[in-house]
Amino acid sequence: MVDGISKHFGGVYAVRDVSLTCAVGEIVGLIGPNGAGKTTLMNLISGALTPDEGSVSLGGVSLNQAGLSARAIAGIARTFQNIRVFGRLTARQNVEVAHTSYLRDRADKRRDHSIDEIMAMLGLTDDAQRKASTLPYGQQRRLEIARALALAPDILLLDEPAAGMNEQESLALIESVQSIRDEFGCGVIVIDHDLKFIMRVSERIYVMNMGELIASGTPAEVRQDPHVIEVYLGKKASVS
Amino acid sequence: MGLVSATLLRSLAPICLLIAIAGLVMSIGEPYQIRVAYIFFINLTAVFALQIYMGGTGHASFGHAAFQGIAAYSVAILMTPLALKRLLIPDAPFGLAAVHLGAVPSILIALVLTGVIAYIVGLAISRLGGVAAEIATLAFLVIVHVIFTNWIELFRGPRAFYGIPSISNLYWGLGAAIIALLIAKLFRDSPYGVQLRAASDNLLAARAMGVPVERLRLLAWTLSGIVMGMAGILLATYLGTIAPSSFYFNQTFLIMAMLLLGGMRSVSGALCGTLVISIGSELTRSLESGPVIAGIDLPAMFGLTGFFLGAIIVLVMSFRREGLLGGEEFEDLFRQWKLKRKSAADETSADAPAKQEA
Ligand SMILES: Nc1ncnc2c1ncn2[C@@H]1O[C@H](COP(=O)(O)OP(=O)(O)OP(=O)(O)O)[C@@H](O)[C@H]1O
Ligand SMILES: [Mg+2]
Repeated sequence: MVDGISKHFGGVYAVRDVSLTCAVGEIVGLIGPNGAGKTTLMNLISGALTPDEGSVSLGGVSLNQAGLSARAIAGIARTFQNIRVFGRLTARQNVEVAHTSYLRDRADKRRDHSIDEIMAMLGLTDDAQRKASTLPYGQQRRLEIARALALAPDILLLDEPAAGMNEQESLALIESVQSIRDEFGCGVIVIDHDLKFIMRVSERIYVMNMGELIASGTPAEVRQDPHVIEVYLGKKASVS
Repeated sequence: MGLVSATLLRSLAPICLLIAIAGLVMSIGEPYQIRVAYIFFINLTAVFALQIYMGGTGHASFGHAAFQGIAAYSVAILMTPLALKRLLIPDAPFGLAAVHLGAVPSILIALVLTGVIAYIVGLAISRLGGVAAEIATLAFLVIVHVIFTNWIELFRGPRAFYGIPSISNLYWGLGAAIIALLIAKLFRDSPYGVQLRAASDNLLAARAMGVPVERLRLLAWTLSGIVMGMAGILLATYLGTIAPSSFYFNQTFLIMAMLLLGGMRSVSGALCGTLVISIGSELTRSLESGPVIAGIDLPAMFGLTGFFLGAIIVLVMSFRREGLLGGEEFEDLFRQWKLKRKSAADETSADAPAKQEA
């Protein structure tokens, strides 16, 4: 799906020659320390940034010429690390924005979920008429996921969905992500820098450091990888 | 409930208010007050039009008075009797000196023409973001004004174009204002209106949700241009006389102050600001001529209206960016107020449990 993609800011590569795949129905984890290039990679996949090199495709169709909104309609939906809900709109209207795009442009409407179903799935029903800017932080994160799902995506990109959550909340989130995958049948790419969280939620993991992919595989494989232990676990151990 | 019926229901209160104003003024029947009320309805139509664009995109437009002018001049040129036109614009191009149409075709042509021009200009403006788009609207205002004042064969230049049949009355003004209100509300609540507002909240997130931002800006711009055209037609067909200066900075400044005062993000805000400023400027107008208050003969104070409008814009921008209504509709404010009362009542009945975070 992503092939040999690179992006540099000034002289520094934020992402260098990264290739990655995510099948429909799969949950893929993307992990790496701060500044590893995870968000930049997500921006390249979603079309928020144009790559210097490399390509992105979905179901064999190249998306290189498609911008952010065209890719959203083509089937790549995302959330944002620094929350970007539509603050003046109600929670329900936030989801409606994406649902309108879905109704207008998607040719296949097989996974037809209503706005209210999606909101119920993420526990937002009671907050539907509240202004998004007045929702608590965790609900805003859930709202971003609901909004992305209303596009009926083939691939859902979640940038640190568990940020700021406690143990219990992130366990609930893991369950949500898994039931979303089952219900919507989409592929999910989850970013986090907490190894435990990523190990629990994903079936396959990519590890990034300094803009480069240093390892990939099942959670068990990645845990054994000497690079990961050196770069990531070692660092984490020294931090905590 | 469908969008249209829901919008009608939500608009019932403001529509009743407008009908009450018209009814009251007509029952008094004094020509001066009827004229003031009519001009209120013209400006209200114009401010609703401006709200469609500014409320949707979050961008200011200084160009809307030009649409008012384009529609007003269109009906003037099409509707004015031939005998008068031979006097006013004997050398009009495209054979227009010999064209005389009835009210309905003239108005329809004026609206279509305004819409087409709005669409073409909008193709450029909708592609620009933020400040660039705002400056472009200002340039549009100036360009149209220059055309009015310099194309003498067609528009008579800076001199007034008079003799337009004064076929309109207060009920026309009322009807146009109600239509404009409904269009503005329908657009605001429609799926595309919601998408456009999302883009003005957070452009990047809106694009990531597949919102076709440029196309929706173009839609809002064109729609609001056409509604603005209604305001121009109201003006021309009531006063019977128009001039390029009617559609320039004074008008731009006036409707901008009205919209900003009430809050550009809601249709109710547009109504509220227009009401307050219309009443306020009637009061200052009587001050300008130096009235006698409590036996004291006050001196004439010209230019007070302009000062008053400028002060309003400055005050709103510094102390209440979102306007008097804070960008909310009347019915939303009412719902929030009811919710607050209900939760306050719940709290007292439950013997004041732990305070809830807002
Ligand atoms: N717009 C930008 N301009 C310049 N440099 C940037 C830009 N965006 C990211 N970078 C740099 O690129 C590198 C990768 O950043 P990125 O945000 O992708 O990391 P990340 O893995 O998401 O980190 P975090 O865990 O902190 O979210 C960092 O060194 C960052 O400073
Ligand atoms: Mg990041």
